[in-house]
Amino acid sequence: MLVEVEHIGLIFFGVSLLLIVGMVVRRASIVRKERRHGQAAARLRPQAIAYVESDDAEPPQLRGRDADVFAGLLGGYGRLLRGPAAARIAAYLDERGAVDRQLRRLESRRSWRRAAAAFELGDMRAVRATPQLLGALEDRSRDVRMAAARSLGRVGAVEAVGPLIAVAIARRVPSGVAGLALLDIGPAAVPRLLELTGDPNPNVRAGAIELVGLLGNAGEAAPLRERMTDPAAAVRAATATALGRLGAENSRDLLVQALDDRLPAVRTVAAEALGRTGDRTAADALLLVARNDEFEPARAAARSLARIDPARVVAAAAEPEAGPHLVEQADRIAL
Amino acid sequence: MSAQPPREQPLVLAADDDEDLLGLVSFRLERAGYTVLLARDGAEALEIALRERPDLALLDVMMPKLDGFELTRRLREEEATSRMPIILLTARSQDADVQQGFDAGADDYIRKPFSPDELRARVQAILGRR
Repeated sequence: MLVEVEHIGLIFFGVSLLLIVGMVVRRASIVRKERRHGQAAARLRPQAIAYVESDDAEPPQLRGRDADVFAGLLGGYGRLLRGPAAARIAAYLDERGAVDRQLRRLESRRSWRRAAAAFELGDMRAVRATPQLLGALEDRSRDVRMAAARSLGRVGAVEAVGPLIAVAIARRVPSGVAGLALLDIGPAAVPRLLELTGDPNPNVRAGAIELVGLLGNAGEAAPLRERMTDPAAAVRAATATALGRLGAENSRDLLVQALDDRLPAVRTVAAEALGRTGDRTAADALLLVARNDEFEPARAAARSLARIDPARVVAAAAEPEAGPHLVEQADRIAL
Repeated sequence: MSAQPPREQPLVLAADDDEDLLGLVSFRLERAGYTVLLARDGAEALEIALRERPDLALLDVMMPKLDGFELTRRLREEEATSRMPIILLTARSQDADVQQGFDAGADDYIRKPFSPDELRARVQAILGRR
């Protein structure tokens, strides 16, 4: 019995020793690999920067590890750059099969591989991967969907505008991620967003209008005006915000009308938007709301009035019917 | 503030904890005729700025030890650097922070990912005005 226990102990000892030796060897191998990678990166970095920064530079002819390291360096720079330099990196990586490799990984059974591939395709500015990234917005893994949404923004895929709004509304991608992707697409997204302001789904309409307010210009405000009478309060509120941001002419009357909206949330947003337009002819209407409305719209109106006509706030705060919000703003102005 | 001896090339301080970004920025600016000093965190940038008094500072917002906003405020408080032009580098997700940067005393901002041509043009525009 004692001999058997001793044997088992020896076997355990031997196995443990082998495991430890194996781990040490493995660790040493990883360290060696990292060191070689670091040395190669340091050696190739000047060539990579010169290639990225020069319009006529030819890429160095590299093989094996050096080629991988060089591509990795360019990938890192691609994350930081836009314009012709980013396009040059994208073309280099595509020519060397990096995009195809990531497209294959996007079909992997493992979700982390699919997510990493979706992410990489964005950093590579792989425009031709747009159809696959659009497909990845419907992936069963949330991580993959998020990575795909981000990358659709990075590649500037205008055709992704509708799908990005849809996945954000369905909460399949966090609205912040989809919103940033849409901002990355930039003003090119506005024509499609304007089409979506007439979508049957009020959430899509509201989302599209909000983005037009962020990406558009004053000349693109006209199609939004009719949305101030939309049956959905969220759409009316989004429209008021967008009109205030765009600072379009003729918006003032619509925003003043919205100060009478049946919902306080819309009146609040309209008051804030009037403050943003800086139009002093709205002062009378704002003053009325600041004196008489419910807490939120009255506070927003007083703030906006302080922004566009501080002297009027100070004078109004001295009157008996001023109310707390005008007095608060007058105190702030006096500070 | 004591007068700086004239420099052959304008001196630009670039501060970021991303080595790749520092490499790209220094390459582009050096090629455009600037001498570039590099800092890897906010504290190092402050020390270099006070010692070398660069003609312009290009500061990342998110940096270890001292972020770009706080560093800008500190530089504005110091007599030696109170009038030094400062450009902040901000990521798109930090859009709301742009106003905070101007409030801290920054002169301009560049959004990441950035265009090297835009970077050079903005640096040139600010230094050309002075």
